[in-house]
Amino acid sequence: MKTDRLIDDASLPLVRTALARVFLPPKPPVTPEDADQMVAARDRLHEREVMWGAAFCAGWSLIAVACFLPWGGSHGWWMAPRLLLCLAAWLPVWLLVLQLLVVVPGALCALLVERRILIAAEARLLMDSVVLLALSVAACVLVASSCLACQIVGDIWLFVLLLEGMLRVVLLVSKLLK
Amino acid sequence: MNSLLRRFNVYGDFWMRYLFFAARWCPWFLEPALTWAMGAVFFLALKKTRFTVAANLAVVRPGQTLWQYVKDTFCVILNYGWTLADMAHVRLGDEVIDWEVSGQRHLDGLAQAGAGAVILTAHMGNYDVAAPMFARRLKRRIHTVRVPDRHDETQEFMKERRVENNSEWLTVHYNEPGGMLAVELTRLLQEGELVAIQGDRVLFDVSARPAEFRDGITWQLPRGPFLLALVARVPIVPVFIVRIGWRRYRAIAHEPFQWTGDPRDKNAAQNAAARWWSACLRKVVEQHWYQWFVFERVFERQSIHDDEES
Repeated sequence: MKTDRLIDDASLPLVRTALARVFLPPKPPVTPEDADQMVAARDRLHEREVMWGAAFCAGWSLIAVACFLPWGGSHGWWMAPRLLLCLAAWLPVWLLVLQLLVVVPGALCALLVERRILIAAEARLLMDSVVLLALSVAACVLVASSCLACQIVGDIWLFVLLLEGMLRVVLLVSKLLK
Repeated sequence: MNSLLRRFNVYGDFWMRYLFFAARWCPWFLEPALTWAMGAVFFLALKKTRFTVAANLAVVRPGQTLWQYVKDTFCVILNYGWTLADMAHVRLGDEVIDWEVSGQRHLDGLAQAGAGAVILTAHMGNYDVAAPMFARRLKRRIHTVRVPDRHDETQEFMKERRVENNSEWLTVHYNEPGGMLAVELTRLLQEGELVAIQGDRVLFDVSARPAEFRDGITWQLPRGPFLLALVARVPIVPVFIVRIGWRRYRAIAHEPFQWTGDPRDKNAAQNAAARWWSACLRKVVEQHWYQWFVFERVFERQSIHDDEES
């Protein structure tokens, strides 16, 4: 086993979700064999959680954006150019949505911090919540649509949210029982 | 109108402001996707940079297919995006970077008070963020040398960010045209201070010295660090900061160089230092090509023998 030599701070990284706590349990930092020393960050996040979380959010939002695009319809020969246009617009629209998800609530949070209504940590929490809420609203809209594929995409988001909520309750109960 | 558009240029302050805004407010579960997406946008938008990076990579990694060079260039730009995001986090006060040190024995000499040295590094990983960390660990002040940003607004903005994130152990000097920085740095070195310089890129009116990269291929290396070390009679310690993973960097220190020949023979000393640095840098660049952030053409296909003789 590799030693933890000369690590300044050997605490576990910050884990934010119950899903990661259960399925991707964090490990303490380890100095690699080919390094002489390691200085672990004080506020480091759980890398696997961030990567999996980001991959899921990016993948889901990409598909969700596709669901909102007007692909089909019964317009005869207009269908082909429309399909091509949607295909061409898909990635740019997704990119725009990503930017808007950061810029709009971010600007609001920055304003709240500037006016001293919230402190930075509270504003960051609000930011995360607003983005999750926006994605959840999009998921609800998809679930309510008549298209089966859109409903499935919406259900995936809501299922993950539900699972996260249930795991949080389970972890809380198990912590209280200890 | 032109000055407004200038701010949206790739060197303009708009993107730096946006980077810091996103680093502060982007949720953790969107940040990797946003970094990747912005990397892709810049890769597509910056045609000249794309071709320049590919041309440099063609020398560093010869014999690849065209598609491989496209992928490698994207990899370089994406890595640059990651390092910028990490830099923004650190400047905003987030302690999120894990550091590893390799070649500790070469750094031990730097910790001795009163021993001056030139720390020579390259445009790799997060050299900008590593310096304060090193200075704190060594408990010694490090003087870093930077070329000012191309746009005044960007320079002003970045200067403000550096001042906000200032460390008592770090002093940033700007290598501005017409300045007397060389004299100041020589004095600091002679007083036993540490001076960190990037030695892999020649910009503006920086004095260059060609060195052989490979048979028939030369690259321009800045002459200043070698001359400084020679005049101040201090060793040159090569330290490379390499990004090895998500928010994880490694400082790799190599064997120091000190001219042991006749100190009056400046030409021989500079030639020896340039040859040594070229070999050292080449090895690291070939190994970590995907994070060598030099966006100007550095290689030339010509012989240097005549130049060395002159």
